[in-house]
Amino acid sequence: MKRFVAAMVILAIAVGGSIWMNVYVKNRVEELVELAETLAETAKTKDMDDAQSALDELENLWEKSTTPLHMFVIHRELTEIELNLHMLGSYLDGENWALFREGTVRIKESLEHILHTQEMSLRNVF
Amino acid sequence: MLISVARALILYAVIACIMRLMGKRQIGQLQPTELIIMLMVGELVAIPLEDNDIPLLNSMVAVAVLASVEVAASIVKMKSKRFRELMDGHSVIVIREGKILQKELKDLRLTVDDLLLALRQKDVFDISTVQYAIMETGGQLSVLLKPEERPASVSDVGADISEDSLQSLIIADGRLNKSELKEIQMKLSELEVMLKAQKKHLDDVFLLTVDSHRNFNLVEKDGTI
Repeated sequence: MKRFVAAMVILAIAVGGSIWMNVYVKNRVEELVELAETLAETAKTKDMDDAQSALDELENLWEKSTTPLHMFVIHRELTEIELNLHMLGSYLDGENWALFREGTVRIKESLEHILHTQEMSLRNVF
Repeated sequence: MLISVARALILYAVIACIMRLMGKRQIGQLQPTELIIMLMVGELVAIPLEDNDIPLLNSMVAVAVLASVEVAASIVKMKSKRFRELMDGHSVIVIREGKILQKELKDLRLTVDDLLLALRQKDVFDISTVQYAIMETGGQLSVLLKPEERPASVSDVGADISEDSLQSLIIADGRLNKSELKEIQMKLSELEVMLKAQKKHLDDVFLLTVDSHRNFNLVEKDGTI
């Protein structure tokens, strides 16, 4: 009976933790997507100050999220976003708006991909 | 490289806990579902060890879920015969009174060669000596020989043999096992007197076993440890 209780506790933690993790990743990535969208908008208006502040905001949230996200998401997907984020800074410094816009789109797509892979759906289960 | 070491240590701890949870039964008597679970656990643990890009938690959660479900299923199996038969199947008699039951053999998709091999592994070389041979759910063959073929037991020959008692391991590898000493209700001073009578000291002993009648078996250290 003791073993059964232990098994049930572990199962509850595993299932509960997975649900919590799903919600956490979804919320955090959605926030990042929102910021990436704002950043993409600034690339259209080509406003340097707006772009810089949006980029700073995205980088700050990314810094806060990166450790917990690494616990749940395949690392190479996060590395790809991180590299793109670093590139955005240099594009902005060089006022290369075309590449800057391309970079923001790539980040947004990568984040959306993470959202899709973490979604509880038949497609992902099977 | 250090990351791999840390990951390996964490996974080792997780697997040790999981094996403990699943119990010793898993090692000796694997049922079909248990065997699959063990293989899956091995595979799940190997993936994040090979690829540091995969989060450890993914594997750990999957292993924990599999192990918990297996423990829960094994407990339900204990309570419900129906569930047990559904999960593990049931034992099948394949030889009765020295006669092979061909239909059962066919149902088990077992060849006569397989059956003869399993019998030989049980030191049975003649089917006619078998009263019953039963294929167990775990894949082992249990054999009951005909009465005239069974080896005689002590009660068969009516011999008077004194009762054996379990040997307690009091000193192993030169280390005193106090819990075993307590188990046989022997005081340390009593042990020391016993050793003194043999002109030995506790530090000289490599192995000492004592039974409930205080009969002992002593092996001295040879100086290598």
